[in-house]
Amino acid sequence: MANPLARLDAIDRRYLYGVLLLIVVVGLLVPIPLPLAVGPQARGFYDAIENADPNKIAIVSTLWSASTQGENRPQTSVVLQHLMRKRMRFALIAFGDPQSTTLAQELAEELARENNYVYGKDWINWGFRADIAGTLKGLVRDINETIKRDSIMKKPLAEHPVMAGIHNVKDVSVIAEVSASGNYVSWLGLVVGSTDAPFCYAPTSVMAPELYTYLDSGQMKGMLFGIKGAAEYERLLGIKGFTTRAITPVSLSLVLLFVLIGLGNYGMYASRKKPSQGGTA
Amino acid sequence: MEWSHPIGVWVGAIGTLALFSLIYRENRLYRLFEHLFIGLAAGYTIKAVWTETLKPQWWIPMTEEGRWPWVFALAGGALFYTIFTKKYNWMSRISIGVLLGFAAGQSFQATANVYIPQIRGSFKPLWVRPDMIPEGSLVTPLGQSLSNILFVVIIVSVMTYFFFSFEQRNKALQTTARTGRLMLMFAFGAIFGSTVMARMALLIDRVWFLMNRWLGIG
Repeated sequence: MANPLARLDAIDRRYLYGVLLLIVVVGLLVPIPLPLAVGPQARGFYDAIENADPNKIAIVSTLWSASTQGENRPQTSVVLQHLMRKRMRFALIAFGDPQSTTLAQELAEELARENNYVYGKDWINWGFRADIAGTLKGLVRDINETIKRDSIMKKPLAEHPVMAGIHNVKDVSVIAEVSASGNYVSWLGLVVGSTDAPFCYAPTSVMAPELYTYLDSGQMKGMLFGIKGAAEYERLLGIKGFTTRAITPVSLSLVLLFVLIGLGNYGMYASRKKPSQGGTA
Repeated sequence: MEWSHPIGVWVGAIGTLALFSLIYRENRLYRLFEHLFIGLAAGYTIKAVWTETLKPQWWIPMTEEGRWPWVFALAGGALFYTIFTKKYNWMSRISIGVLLGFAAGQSFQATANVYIPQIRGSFKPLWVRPDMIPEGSLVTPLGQSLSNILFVVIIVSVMTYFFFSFEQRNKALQTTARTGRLMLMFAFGAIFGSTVMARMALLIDRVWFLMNRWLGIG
């Protein structure tokens, strides 16, 4: 008789998706207070904004679309909330995917209403730029000449009070990039060396492991490791938002993955073992 | 369920469920929404490139602000399309050459700025004295020394693995390269774990959208 455990490596994937869905739904409805330690990467990001010069402007660069908003939207949200809490001026700019400027604008408007931030006075949207390298080199030289008009009111940049005294990247307090792509190379290569402003990065979890070398070398002052990084940042800000709730199903689904990998491997091992022959060895 | 939900939420919910239907099996509804999503994203990009970049950066300066030399940008861009004709395709090389020159110059600057600090950062003291530890740090000098030694061992072994120019017959070289390959496996494992976490986060976002925004649960 065949070993029933040998079938463990051939479970219909639809059952596995069903279990995963159940875990996610239960995890979202019944948040389990799991411990979440704030890592030095998130702390570095937080400190960079906390210690930024309030007389300068912060740049929040976004390169994400609806496909990665599960991670990038909460990251953008915590960064904007921190800037608004500090009453710092900030400018949004988007590269790579034009959805990014719309989604970031939508989020910023929502948070601006809650924090009494006025467009044009406290914050501005520099819009979407298709050419990353050309735009970044332009920002180093002259921001007004490079961006020309804002994305919402279509007015010359210099006419907005938020841009008073802002000429080039030397007038920037902190650069925060929230991205689903490797845009950091352009920022590090073309901008970071030209300004004292610390550069912080909030990538998706997929990209995060390869960025530790940049933290180690000091080129990045902080990093938000996907949704986990956003949850750590929420903890630093003392708020309980979406990621605080989402971290339970994230943890449970990873546990499920470990269990399934174990079962699958055991099933494969069991299916390779020859069945015993009537008591003979 | 409230019927006063915005149409956008309903469209989003139906689109999400249609795309998730692939989990059960391949079907026409999934294909329809997949094509819709790709088509919308492509159309949105074309519209955004005009409204966000070409119009404010090129059209308005050229037509309203008297910066007429911008018209030559159109001619330069149009030269790319000569690649489709056998007789004039040599002209496309003019634009390609100019762009390559710009890109090469930028890459030269960017490469130096990105990688030189990393090379500098890899020079770590193997023996850390107490006065080298930043004030307030919880790391001990011994711990930092071990961390630095581990860092150097890993970087040397991984780089040895990538020596493909000659056959690695030396025993020490082989062992170092094998260690490097093992270290790479650790890194790939970490990347795999992170990738799973990213995908779970995307799923959770969509499930929360369906539960909270669409059905009003939670």
